[in-house]
Amino acid sequence: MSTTTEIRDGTVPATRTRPGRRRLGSRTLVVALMFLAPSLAGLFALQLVPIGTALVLGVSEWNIIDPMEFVGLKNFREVLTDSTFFKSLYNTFYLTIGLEVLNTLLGLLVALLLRHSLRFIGLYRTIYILPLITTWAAVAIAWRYMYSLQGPINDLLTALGMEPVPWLSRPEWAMPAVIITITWKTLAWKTIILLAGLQSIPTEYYEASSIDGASGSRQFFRITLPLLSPALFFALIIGIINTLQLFDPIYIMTEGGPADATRTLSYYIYSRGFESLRMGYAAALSWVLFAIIFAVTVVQWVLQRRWVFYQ
Amino acid sequence: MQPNRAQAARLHIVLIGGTLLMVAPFLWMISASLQTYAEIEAFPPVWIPAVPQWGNYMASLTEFQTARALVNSSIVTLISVAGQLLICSLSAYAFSRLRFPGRDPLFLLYLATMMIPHYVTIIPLYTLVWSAGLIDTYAALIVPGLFSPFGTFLLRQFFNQIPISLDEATLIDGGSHWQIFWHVILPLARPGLGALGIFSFLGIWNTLFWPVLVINSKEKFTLPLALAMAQGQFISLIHVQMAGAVIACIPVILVFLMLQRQFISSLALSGMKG
Repeated sequence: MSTTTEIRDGTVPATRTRPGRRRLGSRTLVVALMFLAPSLAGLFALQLVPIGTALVLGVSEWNIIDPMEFVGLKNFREVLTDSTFFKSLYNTFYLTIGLEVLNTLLGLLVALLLRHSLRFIGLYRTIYILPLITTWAAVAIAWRYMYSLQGPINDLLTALGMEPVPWLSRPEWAMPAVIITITWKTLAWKTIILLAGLQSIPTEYYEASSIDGASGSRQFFRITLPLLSPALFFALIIGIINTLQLFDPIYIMTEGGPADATRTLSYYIYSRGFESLRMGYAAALSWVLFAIIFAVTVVQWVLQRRWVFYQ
Repeated sequence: MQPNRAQAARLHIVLIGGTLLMVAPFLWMISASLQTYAEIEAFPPVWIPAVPQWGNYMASLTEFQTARALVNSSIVTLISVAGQLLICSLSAYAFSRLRFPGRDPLFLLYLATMMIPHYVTIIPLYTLVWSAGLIDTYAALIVPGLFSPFGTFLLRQFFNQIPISLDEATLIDGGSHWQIFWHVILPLARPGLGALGIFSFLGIWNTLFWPVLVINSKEKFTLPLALAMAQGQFISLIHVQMAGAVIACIPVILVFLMLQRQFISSLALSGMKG
């Protein structure tokens, strides 16, 4: 690697190579280290050491108090026979698929509405974004009470002539309730991404196809959807990575219950590590979560060739 | 796209319906925060309190120590965001402007760590904080927020868009890299710094998981932690809890209303942190 005062990527060499290059080069290294020092300390202490420790913990048994004990692959073998793990894995996929489907459809709908130049459009946008920026802890508590058997949501349902729903107290209702709340909270993120995608589609395409007599639905399936597919792909791939790691709403609203119905993998890692103090097992579970996130992302990446359309 | 009158009316109806769904939980939070104990326990639920009970906010601020938590959250967020911006921009400068041996592999290492989910590092991080004797300290809350591979990556992208000729002009005038960093790059990279600043402000202000792990004593609770703990402890005092929830939301919403444009570009980025 060349080391003169030339600054970036060798594109614009500020000084031609000449004697003394080596001295100048080591000076650049010193300067670089000065700029990098605090960041390198962070990389080392907050990323590299924890990742290394996580590898060691994964093959150990440790309750924080007693000395750590090496147990080989025992933790990973235990994962394979742990019924709560499989339950939480099922819940994680239930949550992720339910949320992504609902969120993507609604996010697309809202983005299609908000792309129009209307009066108050800025106001609508502001309001739709509010849930996204506010604190999970605050809004999840509010939703928890809104879901209560005698709370406002059931009051509305009764007023509409429906039966009250035991939202968070029955296993079959808890996950749908959690999904509704998370959709409300995170819808705006999908909307922002998809709206940006929609706004990058040239309007001439629509004008030209209108002249040719194409209907609205034909335009949607032949122009909008294909040209939006890169944004949809991005929103899905990042959305899924985030959903697989969601913690706050579960912690506040259900604590994994009732009857483990909302115990997701990330919440299970927390309860194994910090409630039953099995740091080694929790670390092994976190590697399993990493493997799942990685695999799901790779699969999506491979499948994108089938449906994502790049201009 | 320009809709005609009838289309516009239909769009407004759908959008107003959506608006109601989006704000209803906030309205309920505010309404509940102003009710009496009898009203909050009433069935069917009371939608609008007879007399607004502003005293609930006083009770939340003093008895529930929300005031203290507000101060804690502000201090932690301010120091973390400022520190993260400085540390990330320093390292981004090195990656963007300096040629030194091992630069590209090192940058790849930064990118690689972004792929590891939070859950893998958080257990070891907890054990490190524990063995360093830093459990239940402000340092435990602040230090992990100072470093961000994502922030380094983001700012490097912004710095790369600044023309290199500006640096050269400073170098020819006998300026140092420090002067280029401080007087050329930072002022020109303000949009990037703003986007990262808002992004990390939201993340740190709202974070719950890490404070749950490392903080035990009430005086050091951040706002999300104070809310979560109050929920467990004062299960029946929903009205006071809702006052606390409103208090926690206000600062974020205020900052959002002031800096909307930057917020939206920052939110678009926000998914990218692994």
